[in-house]
Amino acid sequence: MYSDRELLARLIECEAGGEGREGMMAVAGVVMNRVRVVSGEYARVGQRSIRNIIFQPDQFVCASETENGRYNPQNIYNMNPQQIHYDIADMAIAGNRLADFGQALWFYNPFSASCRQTFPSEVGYFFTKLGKHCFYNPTDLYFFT
Amino acid sequence: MAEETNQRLPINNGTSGTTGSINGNQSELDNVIAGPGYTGSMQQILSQNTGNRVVIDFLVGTSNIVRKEGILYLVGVSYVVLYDNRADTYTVCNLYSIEFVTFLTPESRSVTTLKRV
Repeated sequence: MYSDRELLARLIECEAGGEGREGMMAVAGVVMNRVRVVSGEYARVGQRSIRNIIFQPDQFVCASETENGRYNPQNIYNMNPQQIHYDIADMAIAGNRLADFGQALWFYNPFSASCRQTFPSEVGYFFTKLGKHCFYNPTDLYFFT
Repeated sequence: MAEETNQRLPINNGTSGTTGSINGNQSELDNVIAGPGYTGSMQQILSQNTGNRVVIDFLVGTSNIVRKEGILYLVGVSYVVLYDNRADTYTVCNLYSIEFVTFLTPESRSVTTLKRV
């Protein structure tokens, strides 16, 4: 079993290992924003636990060894985190965020140049695109989830 | 550096109560928490003040505050351990639920000066 820090370092490598330092910081910020958010689904389900947030079903593909019934090799157990992944995990756990990423609760890779205006539904509005990932801040609707 | 420490509390060791220092094995965790990534963080200031009596307010749920008092025994990346010397128990608490930490001075320890929440 991994510690919270180890889990986050592995998730950072898995979800954003190719996105550079800023891209990894942004993804780490999303995880920790979910841990810290005071209400809504992530507060209710996550209970301010990194472990709960990472392993919440149907959230992070990397947290599962299967996807759509098939083996998913891109998972946290297959990662080999390096110092930079631990450093970024530490910074995020300590409360640091990439500038303006203090609210972002979602990200996804659109595999195209443009991002949806909302994600995963009307609970999140498009905030910015960084590298390959689109990032979303919560709307008022999120806080009723 | 990976954090793979074994943080055993001094219980189930054939003796009752604690012996010696009330400080936990903070040194191993300090290798992580003292790092530059934790500069100015809650983890760092707490880890630098283990052994003190504290009152901690935890946010449970969205609006419920739970207050716990004890000796700050150990500080991890995601948890703190409080030692209750009256009950001789250790409580591992979620660090991310902490809202306020009040350090009690020797003078304030003799009487409960903090109002109940």
